[in-house]
Amino acid sequence: MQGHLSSSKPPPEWGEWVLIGLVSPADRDAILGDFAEMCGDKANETGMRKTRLWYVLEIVKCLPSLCILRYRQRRRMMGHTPFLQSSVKPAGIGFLLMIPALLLCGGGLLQSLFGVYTVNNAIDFSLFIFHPAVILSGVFIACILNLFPVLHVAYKDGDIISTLHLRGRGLNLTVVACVGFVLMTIFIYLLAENFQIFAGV
Amino acid sequence: MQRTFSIGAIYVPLDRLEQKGYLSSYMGAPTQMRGGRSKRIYKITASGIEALKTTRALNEAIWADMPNLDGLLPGTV
Repeated sequence: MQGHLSSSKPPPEWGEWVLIGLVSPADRDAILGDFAEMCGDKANETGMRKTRLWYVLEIVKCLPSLCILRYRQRRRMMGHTPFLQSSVKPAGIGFLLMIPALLLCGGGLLQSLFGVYTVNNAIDFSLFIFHPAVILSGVFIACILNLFPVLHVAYKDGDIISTLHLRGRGLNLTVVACVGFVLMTIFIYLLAENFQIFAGV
Repeated sequence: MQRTFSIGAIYVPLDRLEQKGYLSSYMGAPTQMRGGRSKRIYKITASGIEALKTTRALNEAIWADMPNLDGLLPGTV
């Protein structure tokens, strides 16, 4: 895109990220290429400033259509792929597991931040090194991530691979889950600790 | 027909038509103008042409049954 546009500032990069995240890999080249081509034409006609505005508006306008397109493609894949149909079940179980995880997580947070005992009063969590809110928040995040393989399934070399697609790059689910778990653990632990300090608990 | 489509919106009907077998598509060669990206080129299939003919015939039949609108007053039909 930049090669074709002679003016100074190209369209915002976040727009391309949005498109990459939204469009299926099969359509990525076609749709991003169309945007690049139209941007080039618009820039020559109206200048870069108006082109940037057009680009942002065009992305906003086409978001519903691209969501529909992606949904249709996914539904088609689900209809034709027995593997995917079977993988809906564990994801459903993961979703159901989120309910007690969320309850325990919320209870842990209430206990941690406000000293309110709710669903956790049956267990003495003070024995744990980390607060249960921290651990259960990690479990909660892992459960949410567990849903993603169903939504992001790729067909490669005659085999179906479940991966998370972030910015067009396939990331292994386990790596993402572990990183998410660790980051959330650190974040919530620090949050709970600092809140207690600030609140003078 | 002065009607504009957003870039993303056009792909939904194209996808639907392709799934129905009225269109086929293939990826063209990448060009520098498109930032090194390919273009998806759509071709109408034989069943697409048939469907188009049927739709056209249907439209013409509908309009053929309509009375001449010139000089028609409101409330007379």
